[in-house]
Amino acid sequence: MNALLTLWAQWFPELWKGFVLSLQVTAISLLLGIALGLLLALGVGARGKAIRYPALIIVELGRGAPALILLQYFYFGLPSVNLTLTSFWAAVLALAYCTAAYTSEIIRGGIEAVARGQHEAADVIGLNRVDALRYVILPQALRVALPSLLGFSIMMFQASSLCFTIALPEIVSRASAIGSSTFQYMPVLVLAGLMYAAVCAPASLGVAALERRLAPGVQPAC
Amino acid sequence: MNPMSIPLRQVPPVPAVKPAFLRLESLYKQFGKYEVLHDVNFEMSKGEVVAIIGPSGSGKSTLLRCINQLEPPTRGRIRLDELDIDAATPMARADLLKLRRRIGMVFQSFNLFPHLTVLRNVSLAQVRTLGRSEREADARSMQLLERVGLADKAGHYPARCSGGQQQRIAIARALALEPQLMLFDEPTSALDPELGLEVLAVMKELAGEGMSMIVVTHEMHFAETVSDRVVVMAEGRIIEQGPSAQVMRQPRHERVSKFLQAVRNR
Repeated sequence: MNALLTLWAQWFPELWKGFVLSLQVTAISLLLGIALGLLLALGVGARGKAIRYPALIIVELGRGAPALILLQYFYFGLPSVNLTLTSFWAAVLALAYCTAAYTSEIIRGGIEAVARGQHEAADVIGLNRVDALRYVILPQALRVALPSLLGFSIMMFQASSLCFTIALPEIVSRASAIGSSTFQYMPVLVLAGLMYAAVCAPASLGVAALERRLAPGVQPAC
Repeated sequence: MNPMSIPLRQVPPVPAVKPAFLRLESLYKQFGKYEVLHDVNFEMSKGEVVAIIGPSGSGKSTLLRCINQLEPPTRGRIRLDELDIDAATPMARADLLKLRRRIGMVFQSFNLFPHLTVLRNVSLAQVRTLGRSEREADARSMQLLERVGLADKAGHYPARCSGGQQQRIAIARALALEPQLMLFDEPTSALDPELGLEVLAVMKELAGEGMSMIVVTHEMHFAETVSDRVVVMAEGRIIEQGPSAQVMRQPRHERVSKFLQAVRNR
């Protein structure tokens, strides 16, 4: 046991760098992706076909393609059209696209969960469409969508391990490098796994608690 | 003889003809093949309180919702002051907003914004629609909340208020735009009778202050005592209208007397 802890202490600084990078990639791609997901949700819900159809195509492609393919496409595919991205930006863009596609559906679900009467109340007090969305519909829709969005964010953090395939030096890449140089695959991968779990397990519990608090019928306290 | 003393011939006073302020001209509304409103003609003058009664599914609420274009009519014309809306021509968004700013609406299910405090519910449209500053809007909202007797609830969320309180807040929210016309869509139907009374009291006060109101209601007492005129609808048509006392006491149509009897015997 002591030997294992010594090894882990030895590898930890290296894996920590990867961990920070994984968090960075995840955070930036979530920020970009959820903002784009909101736009796509509005696009898919738009009345005009000129907006609705392109938005639908973007969403369905993003949801249809596995994240691994998107990563490969952004990193290895785009250079063939003379667009070369660093592994960091390729990872961010691919994961952001994936996030946008999935979260647009989560947000759209939230928007649809807002009662018809709320739209009508916004209409009759003379709010224009943007104000109605901003002040009445979206705050309620995002509240409904929040637990799912956070749950998805946790999954995206785990999915960032796929960036291993495009040479991004995140946790798994580093763990694998340590493994191949020391042949201690098992202990290093266990440590990497624990580092993911250290973030994801408490976060999942937090989301579950939040979900209970936001359950329908429960209103914010004064 | 003093010319001043010549008795003048008595001229009977000309009845004051108030110009119609809202006028609906052959309004039709269809949902698919189902005709909900059929050739509805109606007008009212400023300050009038009109109650619309009739059996369920007779098109009362739809008529109300056509007036502020929550349901655009299929055919016909709506005039409100100088606004002239023909269902045949698509309505410009700006005109729609203009119309809605002049008409306040109160729903059966209140439809307050649950994520905003009572004060914000009343202030929101003043800030976003009328362009008032937050401070100005909040001050005005407090006056309105005081008027409906709920100033102490300003900082609460709607869910913490009773149904009757929520509906009074909804009335304050509608009044915040200083509308020329208030539409009430069965404002007490979702409330216990006791809570309904507090809402009716506010409406009665509003009527007394000269607000033009159209009230779809099942409250026969309100229709008879507060409204100036009662309109009875059935199957998408207006089948009778006239001064409240006359319609409620001596309706001309047998259909109407049957309906009134049924409601009163409930």
